Amino acid sequence: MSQTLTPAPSLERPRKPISSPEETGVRATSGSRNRAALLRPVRITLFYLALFALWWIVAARQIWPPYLLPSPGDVGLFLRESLKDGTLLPAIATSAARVFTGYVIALVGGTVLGVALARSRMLDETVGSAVVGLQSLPSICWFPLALIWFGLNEKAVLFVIVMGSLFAITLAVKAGVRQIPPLTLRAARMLGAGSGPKLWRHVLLPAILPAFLSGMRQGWAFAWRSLMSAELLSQSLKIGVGHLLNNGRDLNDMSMVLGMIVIILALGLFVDRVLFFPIERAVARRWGVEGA
Amino acid sequence: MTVVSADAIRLSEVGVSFGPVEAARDITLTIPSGQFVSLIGPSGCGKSTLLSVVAGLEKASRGTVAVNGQAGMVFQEAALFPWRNLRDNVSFGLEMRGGLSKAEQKARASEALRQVHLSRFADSYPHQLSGGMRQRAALARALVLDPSILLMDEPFGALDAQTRSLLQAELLAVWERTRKTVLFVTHSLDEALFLSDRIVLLSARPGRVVGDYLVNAPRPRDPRTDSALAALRSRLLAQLSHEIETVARAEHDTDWQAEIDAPRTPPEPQARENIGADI
Repeated sequence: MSQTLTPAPSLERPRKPISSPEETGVRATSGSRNRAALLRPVRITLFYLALFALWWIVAARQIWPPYLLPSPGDVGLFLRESLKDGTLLPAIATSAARVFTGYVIALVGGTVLGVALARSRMLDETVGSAVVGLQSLPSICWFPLALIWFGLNEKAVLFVIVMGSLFAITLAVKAGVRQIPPLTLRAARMLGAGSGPKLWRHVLLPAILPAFLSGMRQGWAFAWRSLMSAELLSQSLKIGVGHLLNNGRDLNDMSMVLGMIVIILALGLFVDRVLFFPIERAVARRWGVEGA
Repeated sequence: MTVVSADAIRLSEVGVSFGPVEAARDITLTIPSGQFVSLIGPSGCGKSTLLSVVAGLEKASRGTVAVNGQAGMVFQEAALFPWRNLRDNVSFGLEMRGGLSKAEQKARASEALRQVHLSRFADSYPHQLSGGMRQRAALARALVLDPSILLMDEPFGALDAQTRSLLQAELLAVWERTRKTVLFVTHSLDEALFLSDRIVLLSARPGRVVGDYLVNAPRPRDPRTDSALAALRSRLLAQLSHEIETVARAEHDTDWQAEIDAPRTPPEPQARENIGADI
């Protein structure tokens, strides 16, 4: 047993010396890891280029007739035309407004419900079990019900979006609150955080942020899918991107169908990858919940 | 009255139960200001519960608890806030208390980090540090509020042996500088002997005080060279292993007793007579 009163600090070292920049990036291992990380986007790009080339070749050789498999050029032509004649952008704006409204409602409702379920055992056993069950119901199943309740209008679409994403957010928030270590709460109490707004603002909210962000991301994916299902089934409403996709089918225009699939995919991915993912990753790094 | 006010903690006939489980029974304990007291006993003997009662985190089911002054606490895990760097973790308590400017909070947090030799890592985040560093930061976080009582719940229990002895020495240095009252829960007899002025031994559940020893050996201590300390150690060890055996028996099948080769002589049942035993 060492009993010196002035301990040698050399026995203890930070696990990851991120705080001392002179030590980062100088080791051989981190160098080779960096190279692997740099190659990753290259490999991904190559894969998609190859896929695209395959499509192009298959379409050019006319293995299937063009009305079944149009060439990438035809699809590009459709996208350019629809941008020019002013059908695409307003449709995107309409769909974005719908999904935004529904998503915000689901976010607020899901957060409140998730916190309530995490804090009350009785609520969790009753309402919580229903939430878990309903989460497995495809959101489009709410559409017939919404049609009878609200009629074929914006309210019905909004209802489907909210029901589609509400429960995913609820479950993520609940898990986030549950995952807070009890010791964190005890430490906060000993340091004078109390149990009211101070505790929420300085401890509980930051503690659930990583789980909340992944819930937001999941909720977004569900909201977007729900809107697309609803738009495919509601032709008389204001034109959104889902309607354009269905128009393509009605017109037997495969370029339009493929073009709209590309647009819908791109919009969903854009929000996920460009808005949510960087925030989620930054928070996970800071919170130390990811091996970054 | 002067004698009374010099006591930092007074427990009288304290009992704690959680539903049908009785964690601690009839605990009477008076700790004068500035004393370093270790609570030791087999696992599940209610020593951590008792600490929580003193901290105000749990309520005593019976008896009275008087705590004179503010208490700070260090847990077995550092329980730092992962979204705050070390300096902001340490200044958390000051923020919650209010009344200080941001600059003053920062200055005091830096000073507390300096006391535990972590100044260089003030801007680091908890996940970037080793377990020992995190635990030192947790100590700084408690010290920054300048509590008169420091409650420590197996604070070094999760650390490796080397880090552990370093932190023990560091804690002693802090204690000798500040002379705070320390109530220290541990399951390591050697740790208790190395650190404390006084060792209180609790029985298997429900926890009762079955031994109360003053340790007057000079510091730094080494039971290998200090014969009086060694004698106290073997006495405590006998009593402790009796309690541990009681727990083990409760956790094993009933035929487990048969595996014990010879019946042991139990230690004197009322070791409380040894209060103040000078060594």
